[in-house]
Amino acid sequence: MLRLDWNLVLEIINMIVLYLLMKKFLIGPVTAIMEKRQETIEQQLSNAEDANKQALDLKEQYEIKLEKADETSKEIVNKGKQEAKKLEEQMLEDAKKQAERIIKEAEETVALERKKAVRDMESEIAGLAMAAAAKILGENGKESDNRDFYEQFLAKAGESNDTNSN
Amino acid sequence: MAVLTVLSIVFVRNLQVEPTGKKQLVLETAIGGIHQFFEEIVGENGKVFIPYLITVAIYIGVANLIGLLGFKPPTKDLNVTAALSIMSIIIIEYAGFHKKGLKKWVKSFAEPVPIIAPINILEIFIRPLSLCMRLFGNVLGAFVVMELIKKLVPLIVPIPFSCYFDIFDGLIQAYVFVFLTSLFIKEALE
Repeated sequence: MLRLDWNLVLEIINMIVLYLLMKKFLIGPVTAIMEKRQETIEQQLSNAEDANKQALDLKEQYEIKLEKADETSKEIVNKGKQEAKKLEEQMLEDAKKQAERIIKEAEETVALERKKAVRDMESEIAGLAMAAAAKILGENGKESDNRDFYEQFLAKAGESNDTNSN
Repeated sequence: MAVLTVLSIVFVRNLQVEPTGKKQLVLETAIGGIHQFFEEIVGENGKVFIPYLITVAIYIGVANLIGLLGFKPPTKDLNVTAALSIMSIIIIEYAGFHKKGLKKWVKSFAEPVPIIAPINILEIFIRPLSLCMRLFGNVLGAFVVMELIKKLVPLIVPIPFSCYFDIFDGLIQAYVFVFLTSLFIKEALE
């Protein structure tokens, strides 16, 4: 039983042949197909990664755009507010000016009216005085009266001027 | 041999990249598992030897299990195990020689200290001898014990013993044989 003979060589040849056959028909194809699948999977993974990356890029872009749009809208609102303020101020100023002008005009008018009234009154008073004077003169045309008047006038004037003349 | 080849051809015939059938799944799991097992042991440099190791594993496994079908296991013959172990040692030394070149290969016998060089050289003969004898002894022993049990009690009783001696022991021996071979290859590659 414990004997080596030519079978050894035959066995070795058998093994080599079996090895070649196995390699060709079993291990070769199986490993090839597994590697192929691995490749496919890796490719798909990388594809997915690419797509993901692209999506992220797009998202970033959109975010940037959104931010920009936000800024623009803010700017527009600010601008509008400023303009509105400006307009408001201008309108206020205008209104103020107008009011001042109106007041001034009113004052002028009032002053004019007053002047006119004063003048009217003066002329009326003068007329009244004249009328009174005329009445006095017309009614009391007598000498005595004139004299009395005159004397009275003199007396009054003389009293007030005495201190100066004497 | 012919049976194995025909079976492989039948199994491999319609493999696809997208797995469709259970057959392919089983085949891939088996081959891929064994492949990975060897790859972990021998490493990146020893990939060339993996097909050989798988072949030997399948061969010894089938040879040991064939006893179940009533055949005499071929590994019971010393010539077969001797042939296997001689091829193993040739491949082991070839791996070291191919990797290191002549000078380094010769030098590698004097490591880690030159004084154990004789032992290292002896290893060339001891390793295949131990591989050969272990496989041969185990299979022969199992065969003899099984025959004795069958002679003694031909009914029912041999079943559990058959499970142990034919299936478990046979597979373990196949595993040990290729495991040691791959370990030695890795050692030679370092």
